[in-house]
Amino acid sequence: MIEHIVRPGEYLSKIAKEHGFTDYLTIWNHPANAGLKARRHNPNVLLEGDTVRIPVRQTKEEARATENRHRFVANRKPLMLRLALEDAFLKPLVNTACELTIKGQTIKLVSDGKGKIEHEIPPDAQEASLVIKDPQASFNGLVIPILIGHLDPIDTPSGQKARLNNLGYFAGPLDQEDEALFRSAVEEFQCEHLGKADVDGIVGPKTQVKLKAVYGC
Amino acid sequence: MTDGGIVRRISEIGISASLPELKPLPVFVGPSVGDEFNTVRSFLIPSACFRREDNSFDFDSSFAFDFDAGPLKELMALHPGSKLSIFGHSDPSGRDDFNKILAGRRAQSIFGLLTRDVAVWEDLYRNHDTQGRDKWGVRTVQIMLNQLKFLTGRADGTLDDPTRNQLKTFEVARRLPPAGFDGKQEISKATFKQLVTEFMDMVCTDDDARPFAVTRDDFLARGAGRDGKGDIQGCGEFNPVLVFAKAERNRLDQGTDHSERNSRNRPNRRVMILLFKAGSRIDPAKWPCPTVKEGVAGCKARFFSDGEKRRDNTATEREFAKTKDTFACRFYQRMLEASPCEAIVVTAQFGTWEVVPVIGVPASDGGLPPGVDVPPDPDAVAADAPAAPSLRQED
Repeated sequence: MIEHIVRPGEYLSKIAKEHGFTDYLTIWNHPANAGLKARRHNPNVLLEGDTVRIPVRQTKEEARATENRHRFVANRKPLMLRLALEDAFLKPLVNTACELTIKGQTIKLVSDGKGKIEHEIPPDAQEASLVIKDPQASFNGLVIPILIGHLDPIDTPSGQKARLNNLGYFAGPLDQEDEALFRSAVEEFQCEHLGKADVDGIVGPKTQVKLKAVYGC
Repeated sequence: MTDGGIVRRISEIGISASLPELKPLPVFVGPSVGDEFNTVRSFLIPSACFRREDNSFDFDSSFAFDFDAGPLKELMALHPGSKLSIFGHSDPSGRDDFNKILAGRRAQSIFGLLTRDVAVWEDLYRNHDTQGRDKWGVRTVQIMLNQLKFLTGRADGTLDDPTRNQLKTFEVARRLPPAGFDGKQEISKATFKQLVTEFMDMVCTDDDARPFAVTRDDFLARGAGRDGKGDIQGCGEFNPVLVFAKAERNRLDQGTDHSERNSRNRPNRRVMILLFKAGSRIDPAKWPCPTVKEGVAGCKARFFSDGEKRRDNTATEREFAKTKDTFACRFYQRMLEASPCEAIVVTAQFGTWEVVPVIGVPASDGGLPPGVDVPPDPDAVAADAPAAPSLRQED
């Protein structure tokens, strides 16, 4: 069994593909990764330095008659990039045209009635960019860079900061420490999503649960 | 968000600046195999700011008798399509609730002036601030008549014969029904409209002294909110740019003559106009600030967890530009964090102007504007001279 140490931007579907697995669940549900699974919950939101144990690949044999055509379908869940788009102090960007560029391909999408867009992505995708094409939206025309698999778990400061930033509570760039800015972003979030008594600028367990729920993962 | 930006103009009555443009941060997402998603929400950040200190207003009054809109016009040309929102501030003396209402009425007054909306001013004229002392009254009519060269003599708020006569002369000259003053010492709707319309064009002007106006569509909420929600805010005394040391505050509070305190507090009495990125729009219902007519509860709900401590006097004097810890309102601070407009650039101290160095003044602009305005000297207003209401630095 190989031990794979997670690097920045790695997520389980990507790691699985690298090691020749079609289905990430083979790794995720393996007893050797029970601890990781319990700690991280989401196989695609891992932390740099996490250890993923890669089991030895099992070859599956299917007997079929020769001189015939057979269809074999790999059984795996598709990997999706799913975004919910909202305008600051306005509303979800519903039925809004946008363009997603991923691996050199640009795909035209329209958000649904809740402002969500989704698109199946290959399990080794790392970067994408999104452009909203709606003159009514405040980020119309802006190229939004997306880093896939870079989101850290909710119980890490970097994961909290990234979720706050994505939610419009500007907490500062990930590579810059600004304690005061981070705290004020946390308080803004708590003010809008929790009770007055919960506004303390500290991302405790209650705030983590709420932040994860509001953010979406 | 980094400090900086370009200061466009700076004078002893205000400052205007463009803020550094923010590039969108990369969005860090987790791909999904289940029903997880990633929310991407834009955030509202001003692209420019225009702060004006309180010499548009009299002591305890919201009547805007003068507004040099040159710097605002310039900013709007530099940031085409930007959307405005006005934040009124008072100084930290007096009651929270009075100051919130007064600051809100001042923001409303500037909004009405900039949009040439007579109805907005009519609301201020007919509906007094019943808690505070802001009553437009006869004095306001006198100031406007004087400005239009219908000279009433003093503008002291006393309804005397010259004032009655000049109003009548104005009404006749403009072919209005000669309604005069009613039992409440107020003028008719038609006369108010005519008077205000002409007055606004004379006092809200650009650098070439030409009338300058904007429309409701130039504002963040497009004037669609109740009582201007999203477009005008009264921040009261919650966000001082200067907080005296405790001992100093105690000294300044002593006695009955508070002219030194009022003079030192001048940077705190200000109107801030923020310009948001072209096309910005908000739903007034989701806007955190209470309306200008609501009490302080909505403001306090957005305070930092240590908000009261921030605006309170401590052992040492604190300036927002240096310590970033004097605003109680978290929502306001987060918008203004990187703004040079909240730096105290000039402080008036007993007749001398003390200039504090400012970051980011472009050499090409020469820093200081052409023609630093000198505030009118109250004593220079002769008894029969037109207009120029006296300026009292008090709040």
